[in-house]
Amino acid sequence: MFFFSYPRQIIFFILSLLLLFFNSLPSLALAATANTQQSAAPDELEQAQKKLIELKRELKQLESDVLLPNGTEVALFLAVKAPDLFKLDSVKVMLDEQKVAQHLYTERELSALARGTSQDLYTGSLAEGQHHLLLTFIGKGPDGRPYRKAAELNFEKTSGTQLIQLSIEADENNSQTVFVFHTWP
Amino acid sequence: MWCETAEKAHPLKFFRLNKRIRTLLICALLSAFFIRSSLAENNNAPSAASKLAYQNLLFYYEQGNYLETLVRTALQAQPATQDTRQKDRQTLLTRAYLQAGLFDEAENSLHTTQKIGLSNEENNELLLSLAEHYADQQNMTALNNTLQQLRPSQSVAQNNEKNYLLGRYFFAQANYSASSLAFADVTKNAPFYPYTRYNLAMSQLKNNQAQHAETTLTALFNSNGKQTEYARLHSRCALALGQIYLQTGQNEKAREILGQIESNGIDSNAALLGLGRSYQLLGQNDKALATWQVLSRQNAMDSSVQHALLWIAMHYENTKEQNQAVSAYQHAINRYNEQLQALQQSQQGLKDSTWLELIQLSNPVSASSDQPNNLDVDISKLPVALTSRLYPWFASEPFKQAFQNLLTIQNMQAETSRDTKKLLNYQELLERYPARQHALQQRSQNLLQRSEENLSQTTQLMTEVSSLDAENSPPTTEDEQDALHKLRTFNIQLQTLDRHPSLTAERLELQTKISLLMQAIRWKQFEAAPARLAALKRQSELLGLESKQVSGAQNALKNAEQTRIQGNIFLLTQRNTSLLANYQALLMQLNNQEQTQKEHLNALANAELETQKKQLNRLVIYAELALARLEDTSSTPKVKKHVSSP
Repeated sequence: MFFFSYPRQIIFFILSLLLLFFNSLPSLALAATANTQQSAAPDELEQAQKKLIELKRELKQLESDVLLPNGTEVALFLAVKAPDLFKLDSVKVMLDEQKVAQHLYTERELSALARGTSQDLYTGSLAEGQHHLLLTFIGKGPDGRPYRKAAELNFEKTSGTQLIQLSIEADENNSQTVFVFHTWP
Repeated sequence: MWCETAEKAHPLKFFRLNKRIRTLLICALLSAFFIRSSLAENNNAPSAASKLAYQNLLFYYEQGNYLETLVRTALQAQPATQDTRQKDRQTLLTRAYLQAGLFDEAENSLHTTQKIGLSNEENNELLLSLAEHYADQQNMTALNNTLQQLRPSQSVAQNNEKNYLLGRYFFAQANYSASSLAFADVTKNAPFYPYTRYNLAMSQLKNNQAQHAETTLTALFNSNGKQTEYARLHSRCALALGQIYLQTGQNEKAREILGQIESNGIDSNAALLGLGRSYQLLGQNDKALATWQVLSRQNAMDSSVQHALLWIAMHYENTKEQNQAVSAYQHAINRYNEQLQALQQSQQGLKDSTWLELIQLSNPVSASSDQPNNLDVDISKLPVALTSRLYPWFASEPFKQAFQNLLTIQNMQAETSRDTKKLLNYQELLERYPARQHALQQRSQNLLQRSEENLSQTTQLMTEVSSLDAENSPPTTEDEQDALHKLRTFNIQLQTLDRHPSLTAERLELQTKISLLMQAIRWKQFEAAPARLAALKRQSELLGLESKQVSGAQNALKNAEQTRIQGNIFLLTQRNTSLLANYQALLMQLNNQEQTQKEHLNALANAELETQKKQLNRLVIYAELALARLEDTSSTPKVKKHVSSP
């Protein structure tokens, strides 16, 4: 009775006001929940991604067959076990006095290397016999000072794929970096 | 046993053996030791190579380059017996599929990984990632199925994640009591997850537990978390609390909480609207009107501002201030019409402009592959009308998902184009291979001939050089030293004789002796020897350098021949051609998909503008009806007069 004793316009006004207010507030949906609306053709996109992966795999195999004849392959990897002592800016790879690779590092790459991963710096074809490898690094030391460092290796390429890993490690006092080469076989 | 018995029976038997046999036995033992070490080294090589290859996969995975990780993982696939890192690799493959958004493949890969054998924690980690994807996609059946596969785990974080996803599942199923329980479990274990607490409050609210929701939201609002999540949720909590207070008649509390929402924030307009309402319910009409008037001076693009315009007019209507009400309704209609016109222009702009290109040009994702997962869109280069209309939409999930798909397609297009160029280069290379090999063979033969000539020349030179070296050396033998001494004596004697011109015969004799002696001292005859020696050495060095080049060229030829032997260019060319055709087909497919995706994004943007238009139209109709009603009320007596006048 009390409700109906108000003039009709006031009741109408209050109801409208409430309706409009709650409509205007952000909806009380779950936070961080995705909307249901789907993007166009996700299946097609997934199929295309799968196709690309397959093609890229075939391409890499073809590359290997065309450019790296059996038994001539040499692959050079880099691992950084002392990222705090030497922050890499760039690296240049010289093989038998010829520049074969050069790389500028991004923050993401440095962060990935600091997590114990290994970067493939160079893969190429090499004849059997004695070879000389020289890597020149530019980077910053723990004090932020720029440094240029070099590591070299004389190695004998035998038949079969040869793997070489250069590991940048801390010395016994944990104050300087040392370069350690590992080769397989 | 045998050893033990033998030793007991003959403790010194070994030392009593013949010395030669003993030596033989020691040699055999040492050989066995070295052979074993060398074998162990050889066995370690595949293991080390496998480790290196796996670390290299991680290098790409850790950077977020999932496509490269997947390609390389597929290339490294080996028979299970030879793969010492099969489990790690398979787990990484599943993770990469999940991250790349290939969920079917991820599920298949997960089943393979499960067969290899995973710990409960490893298994659950992968399943929870998959479940999260299903939750994002609102695929609640798949989410539930995935959660069912979880194994018992001691990990608190995994249990929290499971309960959080269960909460989302039950909420989507409108089972709010279950979602409240699930979210409450998470907040018990991890009280600092602000979004979970907010979601718990929403579940409680939907479950008609307004009081519980109020408690949860108040606690969350009063938390002083420094995380950005807290900051973002702070005003959202206040707004939700304000809504609860208004619903439950706690108007003073509503005024207080809504007044705390900072101005110039995302929720400040909605807060002002609610604040005005709380003033009104508290009977403070002047303050309510003042608050809405402040709000009405903001850009009328905002929904709260649009409502404030209407509420001002309604307030005047309510307080019987007829003229102000009419003028306020008219003002509201004008502002709405301005917005509708602007919306129309924005829609036209959407059709004409290249807004997606503008976003992408300034988007760090397309500018650099260094941050492939960053989806922050820079809309500063868009036309202002479009930016202001679509500003909230750019932060919405449908846009993000559609835009992410577009970026994925465009990245794939770039990859495909790059690879196609590579294949064209290889094709050229393969076509030139036979001619190149022939040329290499000829060059090698020439070089071989030149090398042989070099060798003979070098040998000859070396003989000459060594002979010169010997000749150019200072006197070393006694005879040579005697001869030198004699020569010096003869020269002194000759100088003495020169002072006595009468002794001509003696002088002549001495001169002859000197001449003979000089002939005898061979090294003296080669005064030009050092220069000649240097020239010969230079020539020898040049020959050595050329020989090195010859050797390099021969190695190149060897490589080329190996390729020919193992490769058979015909098959390689066929593979190249077929791959090229597949790449070109994929590129076409991607171009179509890019077009579709752009149209989809355009349609989404257009739909967003349509929604805004509909809302404005509703308000216009409402205001016009109110205006008609007011005019009707004000004209009624006149009509009566008019009616009664005749």
